[in-house]
Amino acid sequence: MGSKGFELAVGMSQSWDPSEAGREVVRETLKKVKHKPRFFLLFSTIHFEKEEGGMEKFVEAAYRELPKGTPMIGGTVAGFMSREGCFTRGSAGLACFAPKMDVAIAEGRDTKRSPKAAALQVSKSIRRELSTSRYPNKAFIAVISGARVPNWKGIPRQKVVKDSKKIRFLLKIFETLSSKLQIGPSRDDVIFKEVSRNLKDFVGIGGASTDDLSQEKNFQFFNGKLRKNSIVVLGISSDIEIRPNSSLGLKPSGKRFDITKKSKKGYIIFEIDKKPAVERYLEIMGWDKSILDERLYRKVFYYPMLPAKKGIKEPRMFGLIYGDAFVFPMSPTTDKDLEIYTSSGKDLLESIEKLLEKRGEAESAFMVSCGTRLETMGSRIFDINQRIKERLKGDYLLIYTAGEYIKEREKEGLTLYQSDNALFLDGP
Amino acid sequence: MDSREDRISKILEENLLRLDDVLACMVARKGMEGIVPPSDKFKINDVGVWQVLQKTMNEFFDIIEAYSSYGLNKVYFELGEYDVMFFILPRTDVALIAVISSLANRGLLEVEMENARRQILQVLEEDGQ
Repeated sequence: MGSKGFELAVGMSQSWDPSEAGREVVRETLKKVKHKPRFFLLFSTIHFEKEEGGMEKFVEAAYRELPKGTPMIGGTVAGFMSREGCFTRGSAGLACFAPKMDVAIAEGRDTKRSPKAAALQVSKSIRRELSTSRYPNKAFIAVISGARVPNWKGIPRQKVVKDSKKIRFLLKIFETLSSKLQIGPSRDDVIFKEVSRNLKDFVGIGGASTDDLSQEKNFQFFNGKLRKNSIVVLGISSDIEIRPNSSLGLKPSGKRFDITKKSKKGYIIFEIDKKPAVERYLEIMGWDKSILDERLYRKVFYYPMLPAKKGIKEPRMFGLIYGDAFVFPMSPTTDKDLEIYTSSGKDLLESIEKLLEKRGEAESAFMVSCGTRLETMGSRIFDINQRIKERLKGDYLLIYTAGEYIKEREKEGLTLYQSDNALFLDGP
Repeated sequence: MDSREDRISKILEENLLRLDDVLACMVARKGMEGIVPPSDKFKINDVGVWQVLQKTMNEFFDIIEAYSSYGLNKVYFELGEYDVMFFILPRTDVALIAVISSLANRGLLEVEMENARRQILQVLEEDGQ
């Protein structure tokens, strides 16, 4: 049984014109709800960036089209799916209404420079604004700026850069410099965990905003404003049941290793099993050094690393290969006994089935999956959408991001890669 | 109302050719006979490369003709700096073809190729009624 009066609607636009798309996505979404929404989520692929100021125009137009005062957050994504189909170009909106629901939004800036401060700022603000709310179920949705491939002078802007004196020097100052310049690692592992610690009684979901996965730029949306290097959070307090779930769909390969030398903050891995990291990794995978170019990325993304032992599993994958070292957007959670995992198309379909198993009586959902899944599945992603469509009677929105987050009530927040996550929304 | 050809050409131009990594696209059968957007909208300027691509694509149509009735859905080939994707229109020897940059994100482009294929099929169905 759904909560009386609960409404969740998803709409979209494929207009190339940013302002028209902004207006259309809101119009298309709102025509499916009877009430002024309690909140609105807005997402778009990066294509409006082709036009100078295009992304800004899109966000402003969308916000202007909403009923005055509707809280709105969102960001750029690699793609999305809804009842209407699957898209890697376009924009999507989600409007939600429940009679008994309080909502707050917050933003934190400079996430790559001061991740903890940004996390603290948003969680304090959400807690304060919802402190007088009398409803029992609390949830938050977070969009955090994803990793950005750095553009260093004299070094090609690529994900794989061959060893040189310049690279070796850069690696020594990488963490300090990237944090200062707000490029490179997203540090969303630090941010989401901190927000989760501060909002312990909440359930949560989120994703890292990205572009077409080339990871050159990404944006966050906060009401009518366009943000960079920020976290935007929506907090909900309501009587509706809000159920989180997560699924990996990964299988262990038996290929194990230890990290034996890393940087201070843990984002750079220099050595694996006491050998140069890249050399040893290729050895473990049984790959030849000749595949070490941008095309390697089509291969490695499908093999995340996880702790081999039982317990909390937070997959990680490097984002850059600089000489003999790997640079990670989110640092590995352990150094000892890591294992390479794999997944097939069948595993990914099963992952979605597993995700949907815990939906209870919910008929609507907001979901976040890894952009790599979209990359892996290509047009087969329509099969995933068909599965979801068959199981959920209501509207749903699934966004593809460059890092995913999930949190259960009173538990630690998880920062993930190669995962499927959902917040199922239903009445009591 | 626009002709069937115009509507398909519009799908190719608006939904595929405007994407940065789609360098050329068409709906064609062997001999490149079909619906081809204006060539000035293509992003391959090297005539030599274009001729090699056309010749190679033509040979792939033999495979499509032979296996289309068995459910052949997609064919890819990599040619130097280019990838060529054939999305076959079901039970025909006609394909939606896109030439993309070899370093483009093929998975993401496939999704919009599939959307274009579905829209083209819809145009063909509407026209058949």
